[in-house]
Amino acid sequence: MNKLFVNTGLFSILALLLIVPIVAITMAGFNPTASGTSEVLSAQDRAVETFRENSAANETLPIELQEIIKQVEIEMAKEAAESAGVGDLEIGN
Amino acid sequence: MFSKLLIKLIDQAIIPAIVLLSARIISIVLLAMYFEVPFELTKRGFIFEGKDQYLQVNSYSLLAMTVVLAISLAFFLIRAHVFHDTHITPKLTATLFSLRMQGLVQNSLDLYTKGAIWISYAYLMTIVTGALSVYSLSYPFVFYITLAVAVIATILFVSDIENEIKSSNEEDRFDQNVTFLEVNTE
Repeated sequence: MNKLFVNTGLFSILALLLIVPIVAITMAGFNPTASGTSEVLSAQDRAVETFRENSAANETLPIELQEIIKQVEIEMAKEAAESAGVGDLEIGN
Repeated sequence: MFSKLLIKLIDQAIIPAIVLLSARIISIVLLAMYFEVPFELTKRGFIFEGKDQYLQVNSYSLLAMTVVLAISLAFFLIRAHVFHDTHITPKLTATLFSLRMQGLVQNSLDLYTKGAIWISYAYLMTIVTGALSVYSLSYPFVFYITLAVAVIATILFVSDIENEIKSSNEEDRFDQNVTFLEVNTE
């Protein structure tokens, strides 16, 4: 019985030694939140860029019409952001 | 009381474990520097910023481990096929002793315990690289290379065991002849 325990202990040590390189392989990883944040930031950048482009194009229109277009664009951007799961972002800085 | 075979296996498993662990750590650091990939060293190990960067460094690091494993297996297999005490040529034995390199000659217990350990590592690496490539955490070619190394090493190891069996059978036959001659001489 004692011999069995000793040999079980020895076998456990051997198994641990065999597992060491496998543990070393799992010692590396990546930060999933970092890649998610970068996706959100790039979506925000695209939205801001589109908004600025449209604002520059609307400068020749009457002020009332510009206001209406701006309101519509903000609503559309909010809806797009909500559907893309980035609803917490502020559209248009 | 202690199993001699288990103690021998533990003794033989320490150096390969250290070698593979070192290969992993050194290769990750060097590859991250080579690819200019930023990483953090935390309690969880090496953490990369993005999945693509991790995939690249992890795959080439596993490849480096496989190369180290293949070199070690090649060294072991050369010793098994050329310097095994049961089938080493007399000329090579004389040369080794004259060069005081008799330490290269290995007995079957040493060779087979080393072989069992290195081939176990090769198959464990194959399983891990396979699992990682299934989950897209390493390139699939790393798994294929590791599998090829493991299979080729196994075939060569088995051929050495066959040589051992063949030579032991020949020794038995010679013993029978000696007995027969002794009987005749008397």
